Amino acid sequence: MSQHPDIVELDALRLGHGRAEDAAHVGGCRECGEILADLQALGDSLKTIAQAPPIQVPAERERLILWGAHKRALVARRRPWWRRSAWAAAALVLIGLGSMLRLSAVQLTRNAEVAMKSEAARPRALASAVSELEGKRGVDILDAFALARAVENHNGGIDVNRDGVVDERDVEALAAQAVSLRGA
Amino acid sequence: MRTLLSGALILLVCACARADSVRFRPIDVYVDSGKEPLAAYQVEITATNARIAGVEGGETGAFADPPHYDPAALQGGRIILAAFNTGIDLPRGRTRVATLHMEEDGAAEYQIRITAAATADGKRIQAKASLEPRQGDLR
Repeated sequence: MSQHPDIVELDALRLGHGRAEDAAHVGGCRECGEILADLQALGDSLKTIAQAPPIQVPAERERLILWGAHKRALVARRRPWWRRSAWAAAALVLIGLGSMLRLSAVQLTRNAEVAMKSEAARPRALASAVSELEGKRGVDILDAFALARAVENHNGGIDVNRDGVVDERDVEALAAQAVSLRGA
Repeated sequence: MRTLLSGALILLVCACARADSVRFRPIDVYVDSGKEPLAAYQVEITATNARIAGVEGGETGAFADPPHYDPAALQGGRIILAAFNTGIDLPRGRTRVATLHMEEDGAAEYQIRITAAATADGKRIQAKASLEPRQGDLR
């Protein structure tokens, strides 16, 4: 008996494009004949679905769905009166406290500026920590060892490669610096 | 013509003599931490009339992997080796921590200097470092 045609070849037969030898095989092979019949049935059912008219949503149901969505949007936009009052009360308390502590708007701005400056200085601080480590006595393997222990114990450490994470890669970077012939 | 042949012969003899003098030799690196468990070490090795061909790990589990070194040291005569282990199974006493594979060209000389050693808690300890050349292979 010749080799069974695969599913693509059988589907080609179903569509009338198959090869003559496959058609001859299917004629004498019960198994392939059944697969071809299944493919035919599947094709017919898909055709029925494709020809079905689109589903119509009843007008009343559509109106209810739209009204539900509209109500949810309104609820999300409106806050209850007591919550608005609470915000107002909190604002009054803050203003009162501000007066008591004589915190002027200028001072607040100045504080914010200082905070922003310190945040911006953070990477520089890290960089200078590494530079300080390098400059003082040169990095050695004990620095990498200490960092490895800190990483293992989740106890912070220096972000040597400045990727924002203190991990094994920082340990490797520090060890590489320790054995570098350029720095030694 | 005779002069040319003599020159070629001399060059050939020199080339053979040079090939005979190149020797590949493993050099074992030892660190002795005494009674303290050895968790980290760093040594600097310099060689004259020899080039570093490769670096191998040591004998114990803690330092079995090749140590850290600068790849730029290969084919040169100076290298810094360093390794650490954060585990608890650490060697004491004299331990082979690494082996260097050297390409010697004539009478080679080696020097080793230990620059750092620490025990398990990271505390610096006094340790000694030494080199022990093995029998090499002539090439």
